[in-house]
Amino acid sequence: MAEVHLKNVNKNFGKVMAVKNFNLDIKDGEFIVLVGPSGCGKTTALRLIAGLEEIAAGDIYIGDKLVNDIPPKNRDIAMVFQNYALYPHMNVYGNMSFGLKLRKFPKKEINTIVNRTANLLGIGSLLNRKPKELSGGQRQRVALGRAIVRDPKVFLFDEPLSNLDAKLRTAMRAELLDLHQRLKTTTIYVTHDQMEAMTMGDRIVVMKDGLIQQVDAPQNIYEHPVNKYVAGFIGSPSMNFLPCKLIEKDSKMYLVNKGFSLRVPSNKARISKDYVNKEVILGIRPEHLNAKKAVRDYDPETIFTASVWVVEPLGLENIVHIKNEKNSIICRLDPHIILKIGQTDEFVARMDLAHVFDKETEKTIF
Amino acid sequence: MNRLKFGWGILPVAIFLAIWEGVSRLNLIPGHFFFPPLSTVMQEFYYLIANGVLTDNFLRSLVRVLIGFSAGSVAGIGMGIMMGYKKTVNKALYPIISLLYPIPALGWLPILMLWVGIGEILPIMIIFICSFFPVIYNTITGIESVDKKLIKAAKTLGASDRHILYTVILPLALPNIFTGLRLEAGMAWRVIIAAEMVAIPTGIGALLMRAESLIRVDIIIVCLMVLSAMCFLFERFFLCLELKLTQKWR
Ligand SMILES: Nc1ncnc2c1ncn2[C@@H]1O[C@H](COP(=O)(O)OP(=O)(O)OP(=O)(O)O)[C@@H](O)[C@H]1O
Ligand SMILES: [Mg+2]
Repeated sequence: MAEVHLKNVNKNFGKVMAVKNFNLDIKDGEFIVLVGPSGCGKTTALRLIAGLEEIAAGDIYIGDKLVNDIPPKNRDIAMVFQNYALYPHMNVYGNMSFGLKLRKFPKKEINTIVNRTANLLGIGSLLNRKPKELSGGQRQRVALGRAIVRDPKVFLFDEPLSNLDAKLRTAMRAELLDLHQRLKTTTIYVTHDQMEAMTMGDRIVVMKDGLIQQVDAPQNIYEHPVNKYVAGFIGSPSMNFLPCKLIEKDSKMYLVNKGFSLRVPSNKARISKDYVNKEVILGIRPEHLNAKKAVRDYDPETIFTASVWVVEPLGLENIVHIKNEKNSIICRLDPHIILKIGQTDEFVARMDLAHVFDKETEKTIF
Repeated sequence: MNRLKFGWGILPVAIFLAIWEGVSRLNLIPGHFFFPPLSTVMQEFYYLIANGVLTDNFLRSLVRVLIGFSAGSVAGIGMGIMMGYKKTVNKALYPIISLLYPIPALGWLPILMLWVGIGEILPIMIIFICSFFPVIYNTITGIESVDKKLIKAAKTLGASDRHILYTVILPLALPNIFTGLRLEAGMAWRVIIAAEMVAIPTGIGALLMRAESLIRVDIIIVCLMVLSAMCFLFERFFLCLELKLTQKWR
């Protein structure tokens, strides 16, 4: 077990900056998730930590050891690759014991460790099979087992669940978390799936174009995104972004555009003083909108009208697309609220949970 | 399963041989002197073995193929591994090999005749060249086609470069290496016969040429049958070896 520190790490491939000014301090035993869209540099960051790519600038520490010039085999890490990278010519036992044989463990001990780990992962009966004779989920477990038997200081996972079907993915997610509870090994986990990041990470690192946008606990990122990008990336369906103008009237603040005029809560009004009469972007999550007829207690100045356009029933909830003027808005509503497609209805916005972003910098104002 | 397939493969051959025998027996083609029936050929086959002519020439060809082919493949695999594995070696040698590779083995014959003369060295060198270049190519291809992720995974699992070569790269390159060996094993026989026909006074190829000058079609056919059988057996041998080594995981 170990802490991992990245200090001003940079990596370029020719002119492409894959990772820029990467600063991250990972605590001992922490489960940290790197998340971001395809090509944002997640895999590169992981490979830099593993030593599979050479850093262009900066320092990486594993434990208190500077590992910049230490080859991967001596970094005491174990990596699980996206497509598992199992050796097709070795059986499950051979794959799992690969790292131990290299360390010259006695045969008996290897046997004990491999068997114990295989049983832990529920693949104890598959030890003699070749990878081609395994299902995706089983291969995934073997790859995991191969990493676990090494008892490394740090686990590195590169989208280990992305090849599995949705159901298996959910199950493996829970298993991985359970495993982490037991082993308490520092884990750096890469995914492009914000849902996976939210459910698994002690902390989440949101990346974009090689830059870290925000590092925080999942709930904090959800509630306090630092900019429009993070706000839109975390949460599904995504936050609604509505261009509007901030206006002061009777010493109250309103967000106004052609379709609505919504009052800013007084505790937040002060923060936005500088933006009066300026264009801003209102961000409100689909779950923070409701039909007026379903709410008892509301501020009448947070109501707007819109026509119902599409209703997607999901059982637990309905995803409702509504339109007013140029605003096209998505809401998550209770399925028992009856809404007629094409009809105009009244909706309430939870302005206490809404965000406002600077139109130019896209930074969060509140 | 394999045996069954082999059994069914015999059938068309048997039918072909029967038609051959029938057509020439019934004198359906004029000038049957040039088209002896199977039975005559088999008789001659037996006779040539009995008086030692066939055995003697066959053994000479066999020894040449075995020595030339083994030396050529061992050198080819060794050099292929070095080139596939070490980028610098590859950069240094690849251009030269690319230039020499297209020259057919028999193309070397005239210059080698002048350099080494017409002795036992000549056919062995021809076979060496015939096996060496293709085997190098297949070995390099095999090594380069190994999934880079598997190599990276081995690095993170603590393997040294040398260990990765032996436990990951070579086993995974085997199928390609064997493809090279298999094709060249048959090719070696074709080339040795051709070389013996042109330049060397002993061996199956030379026997072929002598039979031609004696207008002995039966002997020619015996020689061709031996050639065909040897190509087949050599290729089969490597195919079986390859399957044995790799079919469990491929
Ligand atoms: N070996 C390489 N050579 C050149 N460019 C590379 C190389 N590896 C990555 N890149 C570039 O670096 C950037 C980051 O790539 P990286 O693989 O880290 O993205 P990622 O976040 O893992 O994406 P994905 O979710 O698709 O796996 C991309 O623009 C990619 O094209
Ligand atoms: Mg990636």
